[in-house]
Amino acid sequence: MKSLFVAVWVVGIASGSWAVSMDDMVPEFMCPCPDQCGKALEVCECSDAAGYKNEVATLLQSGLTADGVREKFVEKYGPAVLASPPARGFGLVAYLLPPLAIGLGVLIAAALVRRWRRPAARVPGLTDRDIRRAEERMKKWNSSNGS
Amino acid sequence: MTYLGEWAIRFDLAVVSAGMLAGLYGIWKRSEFFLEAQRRALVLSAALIATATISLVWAFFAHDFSIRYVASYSSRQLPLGYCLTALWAGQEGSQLFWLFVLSVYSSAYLWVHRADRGDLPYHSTGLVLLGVQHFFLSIVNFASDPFVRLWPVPPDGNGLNPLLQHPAMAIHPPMLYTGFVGMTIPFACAMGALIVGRLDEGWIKKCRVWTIFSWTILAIGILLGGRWAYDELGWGGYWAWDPVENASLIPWLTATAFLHSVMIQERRGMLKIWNMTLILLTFLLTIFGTYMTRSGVVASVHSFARQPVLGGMFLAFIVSVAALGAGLIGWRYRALRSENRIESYLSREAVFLFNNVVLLGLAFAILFGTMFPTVYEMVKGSRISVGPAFFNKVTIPLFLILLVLTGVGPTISWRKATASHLIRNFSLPIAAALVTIGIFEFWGIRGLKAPAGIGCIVFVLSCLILEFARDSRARSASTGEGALAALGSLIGKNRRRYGGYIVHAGFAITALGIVVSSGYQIQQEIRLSPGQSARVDRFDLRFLGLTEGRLPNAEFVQATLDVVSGGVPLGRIVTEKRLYEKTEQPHTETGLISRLGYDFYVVLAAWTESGEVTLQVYVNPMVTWVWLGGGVLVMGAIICLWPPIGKHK
Repeated sequence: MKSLFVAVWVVGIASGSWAVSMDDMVPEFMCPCPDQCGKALEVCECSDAAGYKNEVATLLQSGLTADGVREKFVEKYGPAVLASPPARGFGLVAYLLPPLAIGLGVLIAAALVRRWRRPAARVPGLTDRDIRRAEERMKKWNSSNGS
Repeated sequence: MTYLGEWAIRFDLAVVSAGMLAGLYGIWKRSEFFLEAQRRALVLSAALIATATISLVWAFFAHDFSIRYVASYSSRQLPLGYCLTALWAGQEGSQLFWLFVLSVYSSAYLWVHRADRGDLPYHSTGLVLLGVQHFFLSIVNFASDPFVRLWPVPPDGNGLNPLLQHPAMAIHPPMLYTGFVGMTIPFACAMGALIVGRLDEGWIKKCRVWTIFSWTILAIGILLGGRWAYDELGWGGYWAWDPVENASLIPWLTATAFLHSVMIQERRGMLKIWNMTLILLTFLLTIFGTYMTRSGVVASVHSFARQPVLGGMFLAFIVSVAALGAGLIGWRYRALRSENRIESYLSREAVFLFNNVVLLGLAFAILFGTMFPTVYEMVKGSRISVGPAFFNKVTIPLFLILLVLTGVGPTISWRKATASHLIRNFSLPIAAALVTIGIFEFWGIRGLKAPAGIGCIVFVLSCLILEFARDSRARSASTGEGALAALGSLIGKNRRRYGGYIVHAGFAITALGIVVSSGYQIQQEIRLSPGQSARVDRFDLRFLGLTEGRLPNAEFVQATLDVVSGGVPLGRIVTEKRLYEKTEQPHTETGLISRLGYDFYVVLAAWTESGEVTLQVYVNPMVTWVWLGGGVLVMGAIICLWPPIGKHK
């Protein structure tokens, strides 16, 4: 059984220099396993994940830069292997739309508050003369009703 | 027994259809007879769904592999406890469980509000509940039948996904479902009020209480999910922005927005249309979340159940409900107009409004990120991925703004805050936050994001502590009570307000755990032979050796280590890898020493025949505070929900 496990989780010889770089690189990829588990490689526990992590390590050991590793992975597994959308073309929409939508929301909320803050159309105030006239009419109405 | 369950869900479709017709006619003609018939249909439906659910669970315990669902998700070796959790392991059982929870909620609604039986909104709410129940019954009967038979009957089943064989799986999915499904009740109350045009305070009170309840349960579900991921997935973290995790967080965010804006409606008679929209949106998002994870539209670890027919049914339901809901809001537009106006940007109403924008912005950003691979595929024809790096980038600034508003909201006054009020309430918290950031800078502690986050958290907690201190001092002065007694009676006398503050404190504590554990995590890979030692941060590990063994349904290899810090033994850690026989899936059991200040977390990554092991070691500072804060948050919510003692309706 041990050998089966070893086959599943065999990991290359770790050296201090690439271990750090590998930690930086792995979060940039999704697990490209044939089952399409859809998890980030960093988090994935499927039986193939360790192999892909090992592949990142081997590519880094071979002297490739971060960009080189990314290119190799995209070439081999397709663009879906990258954990972030490309910051160009239609991929830019992913970065631009959320802040634009939130900015629009803030503007709408600010405009609403501004509109609500405007005092309502003023009704002409009552003068002393109006009040006197109203009181006289009330008296008249009361006397005509006998109260 | 299983035939009984099968026929119960078939018959129930007829019962619910008849109940809906009775309800429609009863509301139209104001006929008590038909309204009562609808109520009884809802009760009978709950009994039938319970029968179907119990019979499926019984089939798991009896290893009845003539049922395809049982054969797909269990085996004879499956421990007895997991025969129950297997109910929600796959799509068909999950839908039946959804229905079961909904029927329990519907019955609870009928019972809790039984005093309102003479009121029309009570019945119109029941009609909406029947409508939602009808949709899920159609799913279970026509698209996702859990009682499909197999012939010949296989001698054994396929077994349960090992990731689901964890005690948290017994609580986490039911909690998520209970939270998700619970959002149906406020939706039904709101739509019921719109149908009959009774838009007074009644519906909003019911809505608020049921939303707080479901929101709390959903929060517990999300936190338990994080704990499960932390214990079981072996990558040292608890949130991976998986579509299923996102699906649970998005409606929780919109429900949070509703719980804040509803206060403006209750207090100032404003934002009525907005609140109706939020309730509708939250319900739609719970359905969309179920759709996202069940239809296969988004690739996910959880999308083990993909069916296009099912997706089509969900989509049709979502579009219909959105159209009906929007139509009803439009129909009652005049009755939903605001009674008041916001007087100042510096007021609690304005802060709540901006808090709503941020919460909805977060929900939108997460939903958009989750769906972007599908949108991209539709536009460009190829598929891309959106992983944790993207979500962190987009959401962290918004969460920071939300944190600040969490402190400002409870302390700023309604209508208009004066300059002296602002200085009195916020000068000390701002100073505390700046001093905290200054300390981090002075000591040269790495990073900028984490100190900024911690500064925001200090601000929030200072605001809340000051508010509690001021109010309890005032009470103590007026009643002569001691400080603690005054604090206790303050909370007891105004549970909703101070319970809410405790919820905010819980949120801030959880945020503290997240910021510190992710900002200052230490990760190291080490290789050790038996008897060798290594040092990670301030911890010394001594590897004792490897052990092999067998469980009833799996083989395992264990590495045992002793951990010492500063000469003090912390304990023995055992980390293992399991290989489940039926599924042949490997699985990690992490080794963990958990303290309030840090977690020492070890994962067995690989080993050789000679007994040498490769270990992934993580030191996660203050990670326990994530769940501790969750506990405080739930406690605050319970205080909010606790009914007044000695008062009867």
